[in-house]
Amino acid sequence: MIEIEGVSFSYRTGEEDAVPALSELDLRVEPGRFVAIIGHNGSGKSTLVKLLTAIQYPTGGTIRIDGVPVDEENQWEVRRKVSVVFQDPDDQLVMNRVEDDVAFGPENLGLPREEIAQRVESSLGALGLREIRGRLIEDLSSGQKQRVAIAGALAMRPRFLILDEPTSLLPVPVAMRLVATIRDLNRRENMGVLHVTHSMHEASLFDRVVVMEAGRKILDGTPAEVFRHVERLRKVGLDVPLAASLAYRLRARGIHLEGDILDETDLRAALSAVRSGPQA
Amino acid sequence: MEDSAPPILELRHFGYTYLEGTPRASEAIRDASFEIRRGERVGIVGATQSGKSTIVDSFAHLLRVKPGQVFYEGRDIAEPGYDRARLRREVGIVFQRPDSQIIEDVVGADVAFGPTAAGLSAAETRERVEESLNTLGLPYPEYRLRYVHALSGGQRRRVAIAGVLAMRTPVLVLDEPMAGLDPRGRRELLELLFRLQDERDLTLIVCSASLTDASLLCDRFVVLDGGTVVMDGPVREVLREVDRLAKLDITLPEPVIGARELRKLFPDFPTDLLTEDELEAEIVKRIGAA
Repeated sequence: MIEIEGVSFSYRTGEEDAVPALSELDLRVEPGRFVAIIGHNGSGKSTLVKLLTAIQYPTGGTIRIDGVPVDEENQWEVRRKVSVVFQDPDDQLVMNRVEDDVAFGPENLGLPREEIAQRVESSLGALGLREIRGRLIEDLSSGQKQRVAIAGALAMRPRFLILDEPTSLLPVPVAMRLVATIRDLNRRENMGVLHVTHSMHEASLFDRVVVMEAGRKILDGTPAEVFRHVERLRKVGLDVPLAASLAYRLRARGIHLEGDILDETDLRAALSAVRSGPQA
Repeated sequence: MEDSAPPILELRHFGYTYLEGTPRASEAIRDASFEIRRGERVGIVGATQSGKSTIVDSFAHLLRVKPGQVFYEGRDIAEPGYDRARLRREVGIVFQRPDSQIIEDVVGADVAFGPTAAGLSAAETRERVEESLNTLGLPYPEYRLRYVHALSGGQRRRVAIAGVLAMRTPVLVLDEPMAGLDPRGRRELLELLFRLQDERDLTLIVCSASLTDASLLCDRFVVLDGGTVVMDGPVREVLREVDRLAKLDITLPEPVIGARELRKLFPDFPTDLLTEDELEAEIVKRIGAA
């Protein structure tokens, strides 16, 4: 369980121009949940990631992960509970070859050889990387590199996987396959996932969507609940998935569309019902 | 009237293999032929590793191009004695990672780097820096002394573009200009690029794995797959081939994805749609207002 209670954070604390990056944030994420976090740049998403991974510490409030307070004293224990993957895999990959990079984390934990080998094996398998395990990382595509970064994070066997815009440099079909893989891991390993993204379409695939703005949580709910707030999201510079936006516009024209509309398939189904519905 | 001037850029059976002759040799592109006319706005699109970046690098002569394959204003850029420095003053490239091309700590100094290195006077340099920063929505008085590292990703990308713009190159190449930007950053940059197109007589080349913004910025797409040109035509014509595009690992514009799905309901639904407004209009046409 991630418990964030009244957490604030300011960069350059103590100076007059301290900018609050987070203000009294409350957020609880149960184990095994699949949560998307959206918000534009500067909304506090990345600060939240830094606090959850003990890179920075709150200037107010507390964060506990499985009951362990996130502070300097517990930083190593915290980092065994959460693994993070960043936007650009080139910032994260340290070894030359795929399998060596995946082994890097577990080796630093000082685990027995067999345990390391077993973790590397299962992580490579989970990300579909077995066939390219011996390849040089510099020869991989950006999507493959991001898979290697996630395999490395997974090999740490974290309780929570924190993904900080891991898909923003990938073409959509590649990003979608990656999200599907992460979803699969989430279910099989009961590993909680917090996924920061700018893609509303991606966010609509999660169990829960948290919207950040100016260091605060402004919306929190299922995708259907959150993406109903078309005007509110637009006001803070965010989009909604195209199908949700179209449904909003068509309804405003007086066209009656049934149900929650989050993607093209929902839209087609709703339009199909309109077309075959009783003629007025 | 037929345009008799040579194309500004032309590839003739262009091929390139990295690490040629070594065990790690990999062919990035083969037999690619197309020309770009002055003032055209062309999207070179394809999945990662489809050969896009190799083409961009060839335009700036960052690769050892073979003779007879790449031409600028009708001249072979690989012929002996070709003035490569001049080519770099003609073709401005903004690379995907702004940090790879920002070299000074302070915004004004970074944008001034190119013009200064090109030997322009201090007064001329200052004028160009001011104009470029203003054009990119980073007002000169406010931004010239700001530290680059303290700017957001979107602002850093604009500084990189300003640096290239200050060189006043007739050709501007943008490699993945929107990658990593949030929705607001994308909208802002898109607006700036529209204005830039209106104000200047630029030949624009947008290189991307995403057709979303390229379809709004360009008139024509050259589509690459596995190192070859598989489609080349006006943007809407290419978007009509949505089923072929869907097989490539590229980002399709959301209206096109929506239209493709709605074609299952309305077989005559067009897929060459660029905006949400166009998609809405097509739906309303078929459903009618209630």
